[in-house]
Amino acid sequence: MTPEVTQAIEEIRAGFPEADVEVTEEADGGAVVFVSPVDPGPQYQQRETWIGFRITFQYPYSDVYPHFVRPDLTRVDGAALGEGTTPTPFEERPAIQISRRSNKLNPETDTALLKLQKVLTWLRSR
Amino acid sequence: MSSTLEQQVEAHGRTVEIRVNKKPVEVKGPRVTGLEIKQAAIAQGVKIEVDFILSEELPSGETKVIGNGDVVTVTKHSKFTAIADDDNS
Repeated sequence: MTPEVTQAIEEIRAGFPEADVEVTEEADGGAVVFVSPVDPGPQYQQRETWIGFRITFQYPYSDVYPHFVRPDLTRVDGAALGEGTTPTPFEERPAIQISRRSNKLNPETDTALLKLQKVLTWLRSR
Repeated sequence: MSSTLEQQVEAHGRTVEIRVNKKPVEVKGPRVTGLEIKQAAIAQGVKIEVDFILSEELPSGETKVIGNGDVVTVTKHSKFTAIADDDNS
């Protein structure tokens, strides 16, 4: 992995000390990461999910995008998950894709850890 | 000193120098809201906007998202990051 990707994963491990962080290195210097468990929020029937994403070798100059969560994530109120979500496999796992793009990416301040926090904050605000 | 910072001086007590996006920012603490941190940072030249997402970097390495109305207690060791929100795609 590139030094930047390695640092990103260290930050994620520190940021989610209660979770298991599973990392698969990629030949080009990137990595596929699964963090589990995380709480998607009380509006979902499932209070735990894994969340997966790819940190590419271009990081931090490329967005960490998209993210994926368990495929059976369901709202308590029965409503659809709605915009920004699509059933799509990730790394051969059935999943729900969460498409939140950082259109104002700033490589100096945007990190994979903060992006993960932003995605979870968004999911919990739905 | 900007009017925003002057208003904070009146509303709070002592000046605390914190870090926002690695840049020094003076706020009137020790208790301050997320919005006040962003407004102070903007007034002191940090290139962020008030609708950015503010996170506090905790000593443990964890991060905590701070809403505009959330009150945090700051010290000279407090570090925050403010980044633009995301869009659906």
